[in-house]
Amino acid sequence: MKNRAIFIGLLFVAVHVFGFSHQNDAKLAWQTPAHIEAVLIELMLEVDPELPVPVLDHEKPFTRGLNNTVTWMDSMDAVYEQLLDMQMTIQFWAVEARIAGIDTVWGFVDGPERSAAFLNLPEGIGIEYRLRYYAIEASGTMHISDWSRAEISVQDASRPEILTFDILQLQNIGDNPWVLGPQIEVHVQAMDTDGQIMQIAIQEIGDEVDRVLFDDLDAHPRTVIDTTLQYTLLTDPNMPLTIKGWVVDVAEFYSDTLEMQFFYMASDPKVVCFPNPFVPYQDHCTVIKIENEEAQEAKIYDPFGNLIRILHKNSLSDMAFKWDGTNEQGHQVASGGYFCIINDDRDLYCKIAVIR
Amino acid sequence: MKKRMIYSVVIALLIAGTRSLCSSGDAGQPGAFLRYGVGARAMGMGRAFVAIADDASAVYWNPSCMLEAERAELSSMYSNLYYDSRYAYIGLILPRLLESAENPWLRWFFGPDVSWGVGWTGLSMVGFEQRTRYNEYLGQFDMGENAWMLSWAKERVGQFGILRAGITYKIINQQFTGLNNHVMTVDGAGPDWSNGLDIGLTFRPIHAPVFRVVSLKYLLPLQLGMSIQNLVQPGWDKVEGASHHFPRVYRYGFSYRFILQDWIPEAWNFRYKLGNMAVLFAFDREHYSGADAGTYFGMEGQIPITALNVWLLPRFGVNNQTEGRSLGFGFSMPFSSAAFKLDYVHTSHPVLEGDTRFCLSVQFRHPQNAGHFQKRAHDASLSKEMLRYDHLVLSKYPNEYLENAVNDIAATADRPYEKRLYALVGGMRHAELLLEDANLLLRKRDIVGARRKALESSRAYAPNFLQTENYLTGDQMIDYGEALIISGKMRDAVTVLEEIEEPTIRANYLLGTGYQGLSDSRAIEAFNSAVNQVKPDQNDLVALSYLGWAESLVKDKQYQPAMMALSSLLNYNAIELGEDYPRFPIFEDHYIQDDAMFLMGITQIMAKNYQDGVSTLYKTLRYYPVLTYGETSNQLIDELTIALERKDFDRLDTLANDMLLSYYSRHDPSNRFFE
Repeated sequence: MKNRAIFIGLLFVAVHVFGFSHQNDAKLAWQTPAHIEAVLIELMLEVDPELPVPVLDHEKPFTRGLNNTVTWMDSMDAVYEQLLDMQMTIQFWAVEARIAGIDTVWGFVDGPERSAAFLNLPEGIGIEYRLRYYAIEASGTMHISDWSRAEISVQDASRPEILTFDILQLQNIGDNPWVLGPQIEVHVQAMDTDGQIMQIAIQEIGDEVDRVLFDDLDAHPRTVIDTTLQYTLLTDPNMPLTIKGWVVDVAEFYSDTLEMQFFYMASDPKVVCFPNPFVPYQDHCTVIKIENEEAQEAKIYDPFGNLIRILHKNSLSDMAFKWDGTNEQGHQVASGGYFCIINDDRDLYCKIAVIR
Repeated sequence: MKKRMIYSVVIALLIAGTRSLCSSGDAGQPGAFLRYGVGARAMGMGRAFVAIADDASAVYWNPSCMLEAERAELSSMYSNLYYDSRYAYIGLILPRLLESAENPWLRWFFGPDVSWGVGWTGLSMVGFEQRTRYNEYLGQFDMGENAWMLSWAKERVGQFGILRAGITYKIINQQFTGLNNHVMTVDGAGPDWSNGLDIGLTFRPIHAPVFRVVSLKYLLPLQLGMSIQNLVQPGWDKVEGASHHFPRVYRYGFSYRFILQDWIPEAWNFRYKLGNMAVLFAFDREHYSGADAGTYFGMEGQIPITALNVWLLPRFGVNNQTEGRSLGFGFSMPFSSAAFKLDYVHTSHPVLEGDTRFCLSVQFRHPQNAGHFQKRAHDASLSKEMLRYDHLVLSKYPNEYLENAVNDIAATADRPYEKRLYALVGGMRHAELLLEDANLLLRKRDIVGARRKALESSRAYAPNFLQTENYLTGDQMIDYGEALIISGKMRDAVTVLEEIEEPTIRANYLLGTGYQGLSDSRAIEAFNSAVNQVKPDQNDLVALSYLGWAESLVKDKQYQPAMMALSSLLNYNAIELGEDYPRFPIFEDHYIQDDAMFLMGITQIMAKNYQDGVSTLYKTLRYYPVLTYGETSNQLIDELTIALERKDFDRLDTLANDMLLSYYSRHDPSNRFFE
């Protein structure tokens, strides 16, 4: 017990003398193994500049969860070779995590170990990880290396949140939403308060199609995303399909999934009407789809050019008109053929059959 | 000028009126393809056709109009509507198919007052894209609507005019073909059949009440028409079970054919160069159940190019429907056994390129024109038949058979309308009737009315008199002369009467009156000739001729012969004029003895027989105290007596001159008859 107290006392001295930058409230991350503790008692607390500086494996900027295991596997070959030349072996490692502005935790691990795990780290704060080693000569003399360059990572233990997953120009007129396709634009808004969003995932599920595409945000994860993605649908036009969307943060947490059902139609022809023939008894309206949103007025005529009805859009951005099969006086029109002309442009028309 | 302005204003208002009636947007009712209108001619006239339809489109517009057509006609129309929609019509009419049928049943159903017609009209729209509610494209389908029509019309000629009624039975079909029913089941897309009934009426109000106030000449080009489309309403079956009925469409209107000659003053010489050139106007109104009205106006110029034996038919129409205005043109080339017609029309559209359509028609069989009816009228044994055909001749006004028809009708069954009928064709009988009217008015002392009638009468006589060979008989020339005298045209009267080769007493009296009106001394000779032709049944004329003779002699200062003439008159036994005495001059009473005695007195004074003169005037006063000249003598006798007692002969001469002037002023035909 007395020895232990001495060890800790020495360690504190060492911290202050040899530049341990542990703050006053630095604490042990885990229990120091007994044999290390035994060695430390006889430790020469002097940094040997001759020793190669260790290198920590690269830390991802965000670490999933509250725990983080730092490793020094791939980056240490050169260090080992040098130490071999110097006839030294690593006795143990000292690893510390400096939690900026809050705390520093650290600990020792045995020489053969190549990793150290910090538990219950605070979330959302940049944590610097450093590593040094204690090497021993054949003569039994102990040397201490300088600290490795710090690797920084933030702990991320919460899921990102997807706020919006909309298809631009989606027309909600009629019984089924639709959009012009197959190139569509998806508007995504998402945020991750304690982390950064790394990916947006779009899944298309249609007849004979099930595909997921990820957008990596140009390798620039962001806390808040408000972006529009181009997506090309694989499903055949005019077939019902489902689009799902979610985001993934750098800690590989997945957000909830938003989805919508719709279909798309090919851009050509310029004006189409569906369902056609239109049976008002079965469908409450027929939709006249247009190519762009500039058109403001659609006129329904009978085959003799008599004006039946003037249709206006519900909102300026709509790309379709809706006709319930009535004339200007609100009377149901008869079974027969009609045509619809957009914006008085003779080239923008479609033929509608009404069956009662 | 004023008239023309009024016409312009009326037409402008009519057009403005139709434009102001905007469609209130109840289009889309079932059966629209049976309301739009077939035929290029009808469209060219703005669809104002319910009172015209005298061609193969009558089956559609108004079946009763089939009987207005002169020939059987096969007509086809084709129109490329909007976006590959096609609208077509084929019609055949067979008016008066079995004219000579004797079997009463055959006659009733196919006879000379019956017409049959068949027609088909179809609308097809192709290239509908079939799409599911997910806009899944399933291919293309087409839509078609057809109507097969069978028409029958019958004609009845009655006292008031010609009434025609027609009926059209139609079978209607609608179908959608080419639908992909495997992927998308469309309820109600199967063929839908229905049937319905239209009726139509036309009326030519030849002698109808109210219309009768208009002379036939201006009335005959008028035709009234009405139709009820879908009287028995067809309908499309609805998916949910009920039927969507075609609306009942009520149409009525009139057409009027302005024969330009009739409306241009005779004084304008180019009038005669117009021939049968005419402008046909038509105006229709339309209502249909639960919807707004339609107003239609159209006109067609009918220009004969005689040298080429063709008709050019420019057309214009305006209505309050979508097309608004239409312009058309027709070309007709008739031959003896057939005729060809080509019609074209273009209607405008506020957004689309408009409707352009062509119509090709072939007419066959000999034309059942006025000549045809005239011929039949004379072949037919029954007076009723004759009346019917004669009326039909009238309805084809104008034509060269009118006079015969008018003679036929007026002579047989239509006497109440004799004057109207003769007024239509003019000529002798018309002139005679007008002269009778003039004389009747003279008897009623309606001088202005009499003069107007006499003028019309003389105009009716004139064309015959002006012929190179004078067609007038002696009596007709006398009548003509009388008409001219009543109308105050003395010089013309004298010219006419002088031409009479064997003048009668009446001719001579009239001639004398004419000369008297012209202050021509040849009156003496004329009256002398009259009095020399004394006939027991013409006492009035003799007496009047004596008086006229005497007046003329006095005027010529031949006092002795005048006194002889007056003496003869005063001794003549028929001093009281009969009821039918010629009213020129008009006497205030039926006695001319006072006139004669008064003139005798004056003449005696003028001849310096002062004592006799004053004595005669005193006798006038004594014998005829209540007659005109008895009263006149009474006023002057004191002064005359005093002058005579004083032997103041100058004074007597002066008084006699004054009295003579006063007498002339009342008796001179040129200023006395028509005071």
